[in-house]
Amino acid sequence: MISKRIVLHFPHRVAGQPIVYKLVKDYELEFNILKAYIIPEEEGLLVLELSGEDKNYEKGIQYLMDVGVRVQPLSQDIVRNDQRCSNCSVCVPICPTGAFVVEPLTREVHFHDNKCIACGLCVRACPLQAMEVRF
Amino acid sequence: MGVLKPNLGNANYCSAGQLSPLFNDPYYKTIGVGTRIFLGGGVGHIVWQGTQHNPSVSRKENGSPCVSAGTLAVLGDLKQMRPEWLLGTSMQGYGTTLTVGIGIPIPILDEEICRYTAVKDEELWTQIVDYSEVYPQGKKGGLGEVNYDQLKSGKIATQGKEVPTGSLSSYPRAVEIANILKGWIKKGDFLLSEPVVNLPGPETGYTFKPLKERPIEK
Ligand code: SF4
Ligand code: SF4
Repeated sequence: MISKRIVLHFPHRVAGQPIVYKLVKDYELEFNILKAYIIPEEEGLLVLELSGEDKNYEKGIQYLMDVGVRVQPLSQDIVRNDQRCSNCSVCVPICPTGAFVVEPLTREVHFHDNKCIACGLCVRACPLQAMEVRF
Repeated sequence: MGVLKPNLGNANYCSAGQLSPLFNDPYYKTIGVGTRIFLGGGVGHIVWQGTQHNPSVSRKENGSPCVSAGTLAVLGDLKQMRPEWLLGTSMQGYGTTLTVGIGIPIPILDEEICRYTAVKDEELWTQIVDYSEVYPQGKKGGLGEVNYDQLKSGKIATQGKEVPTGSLSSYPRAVEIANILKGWIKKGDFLLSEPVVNLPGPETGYTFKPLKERPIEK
């Protein structure tokens, strides 16, 4: 069994197709919609918690990519609004994975989003609300 | 004080240290009522000492205070201010406040002031305080003394533990303000002013009174 939170970006040409239905029917995956967002003529977006047998899960993800859906793990979706960030560094000891690193000389705070696990702690701790949750 | 983790999980500090105006003029020789300053992106003035001004604290040999001492009351023109230097701020669990960019020019009038302004992070000390107990209950006793160099290294040692540190003040922004102010002064747009009145220094014995909570009498 595998269960992951993922973000699906639908190009508008596939937005009309019953894609999630296929995930359930052909790959026996269970889904839980966390967020959905579709604007006609534009990209659609769906945040899902998707679970099922490991093999089926892999095939399901492959199917999504084959039809042109862009699949992202949810963890990439904490972003820093660099305009709002003051480089204070109060987030540095808060982050459990060490995603914030202070440049010793300039004391600028770098955000390494590849280390981020989207726990959300910094989102509330950042006094300037520079850390944003985006899907 | 920002988000604090349990069991000395982190330590937060404030002030730019060696670039902080009051650390560069610890006896308020040039900073006083009337001093023209950078405030929120525009020009403002110092109008008085701040409510928690407490100059009569213990000090190091170089004059720098060992605990929070000088504070300022400032006045500025909101219409001159810029969103980069005046930011709405939310401290989780405490409430809302403002983050304000402030810069104060210090004229080097003599050797003494030159020495004060050359101060380094390793010469500026402060006390480690437990915000869960000691601070709210107004109790005496800290967890030790650290300097700004140690704070900025990213971790400090206290109670046999290594504690990671985070700053509430932005050092890169302090550098930026210093450079903007320098630019204004060089261009001749911003003139230095002599204080109209000096702020109370340690020799005056001026102190602030902490608010003591009293139990309700029946
Ligand atoms: S706490 Fe917020 S403003 Fe400060 S460095 Fe981190 S992201 Fe930037
Ligand atoms: S969301 Fe969590 S893991 Fe990601 S940067 Fe913020 S504190 Fe670190």
